[in-house]
Amino acid sequence: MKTPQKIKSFVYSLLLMAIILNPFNSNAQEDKQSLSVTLTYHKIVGGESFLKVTTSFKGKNGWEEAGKVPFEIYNLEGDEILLGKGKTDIHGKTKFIFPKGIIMNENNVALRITNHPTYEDTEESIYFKDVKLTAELTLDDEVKQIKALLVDSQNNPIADEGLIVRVKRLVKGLNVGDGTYYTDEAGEISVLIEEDYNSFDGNLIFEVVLEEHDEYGTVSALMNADFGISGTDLSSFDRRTMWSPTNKTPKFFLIFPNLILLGILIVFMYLIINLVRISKN
Amino acid sequence: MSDYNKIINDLAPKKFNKLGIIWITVLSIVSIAGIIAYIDQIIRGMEVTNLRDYALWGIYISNFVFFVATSFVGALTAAILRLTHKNWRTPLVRIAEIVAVACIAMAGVTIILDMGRPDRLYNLFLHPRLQSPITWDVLIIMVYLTFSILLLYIPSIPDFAILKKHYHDKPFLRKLYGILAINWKGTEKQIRIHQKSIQVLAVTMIPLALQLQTIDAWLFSTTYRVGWDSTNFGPYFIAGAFVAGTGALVTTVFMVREFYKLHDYITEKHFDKMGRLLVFACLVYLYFNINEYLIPAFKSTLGEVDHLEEMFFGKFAWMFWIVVFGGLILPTILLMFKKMRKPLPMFIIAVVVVVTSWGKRYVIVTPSMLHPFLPIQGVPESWYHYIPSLHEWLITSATLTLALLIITFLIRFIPVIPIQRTIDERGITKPTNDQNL
Repeated sequence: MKTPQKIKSFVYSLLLMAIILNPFNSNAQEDKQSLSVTLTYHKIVGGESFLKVTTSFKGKNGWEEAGKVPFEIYNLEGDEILLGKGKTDIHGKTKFIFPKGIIMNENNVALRITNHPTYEDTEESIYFKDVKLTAELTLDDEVKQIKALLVDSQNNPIADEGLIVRVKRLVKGLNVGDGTYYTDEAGEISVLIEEDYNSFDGNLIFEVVLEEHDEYGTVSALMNADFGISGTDLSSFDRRTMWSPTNKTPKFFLIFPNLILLGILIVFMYLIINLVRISKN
Repeated sequence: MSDYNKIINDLAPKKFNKLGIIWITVLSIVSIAGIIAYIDQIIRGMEVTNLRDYALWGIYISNFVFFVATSFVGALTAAILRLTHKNWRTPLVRIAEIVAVACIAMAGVTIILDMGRPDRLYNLFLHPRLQSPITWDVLIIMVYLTFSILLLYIPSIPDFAILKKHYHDKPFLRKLYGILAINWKGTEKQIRIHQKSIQVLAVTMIPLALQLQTIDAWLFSTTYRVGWDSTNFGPYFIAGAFVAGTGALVTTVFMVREFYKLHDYITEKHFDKMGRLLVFACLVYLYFNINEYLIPAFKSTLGEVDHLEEMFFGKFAWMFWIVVFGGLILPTILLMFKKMRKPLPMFIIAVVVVVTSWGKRYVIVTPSMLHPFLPIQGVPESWYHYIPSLHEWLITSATLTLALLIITFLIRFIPVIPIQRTIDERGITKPTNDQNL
């Protein structure tokens, strides 16, 4: 190939690559995927208040998790204030804990995602009001009772709202009685605990929950109790069983197979000795 | 030539003829192809096989169980018939011992093939867990191999002494047999020690063989899976090994008889006896098969129904019915006729029995693997089925050909029929001034 032709080929190749990998592609933002953000407000009385954030995008297989997406949280009430930054995990989920004293009577919070290489700029806001939920566990003459009061930030009772009363469990809570109890005009509920509940060490955690309310989000109040019925540990991990690790082999299993092996070894030695005797005879 | 010398000439190991060399060449080619495939399996990992999360025991383990079963022949003929003083066994014993050594050696090798990385074997010794049948299996295979070698070697010592004299003009063979004969002179004391050793060895071999088959069965029955969850599995495997072992013995005996022209020593009477033994073995195994399939079918638990339906009417049905009819029912019926217990028909039937015995192990291992209690979900479609890959076929074929090569080379150097015992049984005395010796 002659040199000018080589140069020509090289230039054409460069042009082709430039078209394919155009760094100045004006359509770059348009090629980004749109992102769906879900925000839910949660408050644990006497504990933290937080937003549960979920990010997803519409992929080939329907809605797929959008992992590792950084975001900023702004308070939109009054002057816009940056409350903090966060990033979703690989499953597109995270929990943004509000700094103490930030939650007001009425709150308008926005989540913003900007300048992400894969996803379009996105903003999602949530409005919620603060609410006061107090719960108390009483024990009078063996009568166990939970009383809860639901009032708004002005201490006005909130009537006819369903509060869930349950025993906290690792996966899903166990309802106490009917499970859901509606507040009376005074914003109160009163629930008798009539059943016995099992617990590993006798300790129980009861919770009263206002769940997924349109204005107040999810609010829960926790109470500790020690009247759970202690369970029996059925785990055999510390015993010598057929399924235990090497260092916990059952004793009979250490004795008998090794005795058989010893017997075999004795026979083997006997035969070898006999071979030696034959050769020396 | 005296009778004494004739027997030695007839029974002394001989060089391979042209047919023997072709036989070895073919076996070597298949073995080399398998070794290459195995090297590739080590380099690229188990992904070259079709073993996946569900069918994680496939053709390798089926093959392993087959080898273990076939090795039972050593204990069967060499130990049981020896202890029951059945003299007709004499020409068969050595061949049975040779088959047993080759099969149990290849069973050990097959386990290593299935491990993927051979260095993992080291962990079984570094971190043994006595509760695991896998630990027992490794131990019993090593012990059984050792004792099978002893059972082959110790009774052969007087023959090695005879061969040392017989090959006095061939330095290599004279030296080889001289070492193996360990100074055997045939003195009264030597004979007494020798007989006692064989007796102890024969007695030991029986529980060892039963342990070997039972542990092999427990590898399955201690694993909670449909098709394997049976307290019957130990005797079921022993009965199966009885069939596979006898089949392998008949096949090998026929081939040795034809290759080495040993018609005067291995007669039709031997085939007749082996035929009767095979019928008995097939009937016992049939009984256990009925137990293994009828009782789960009667109880019809959800998992068992799926498993049995696939076995009786599904994708494994063709293999299952060939194994049951071709490998058990048909041989039983045919061998009830005296004409069928002649050498050639016996050989053909035995080959079918051996092949179907291999298939039987495949039918035991694979369908259960594809029927776990938790449904198979979220895996590629190909993981629902199992068909061995080319690598698996090549490696498995190589293990079979290597076993045949071991048998072939042992036959080349060890007299296939005990010389001294044949001489003794025929009441022939050693000539005093025989030039051949």
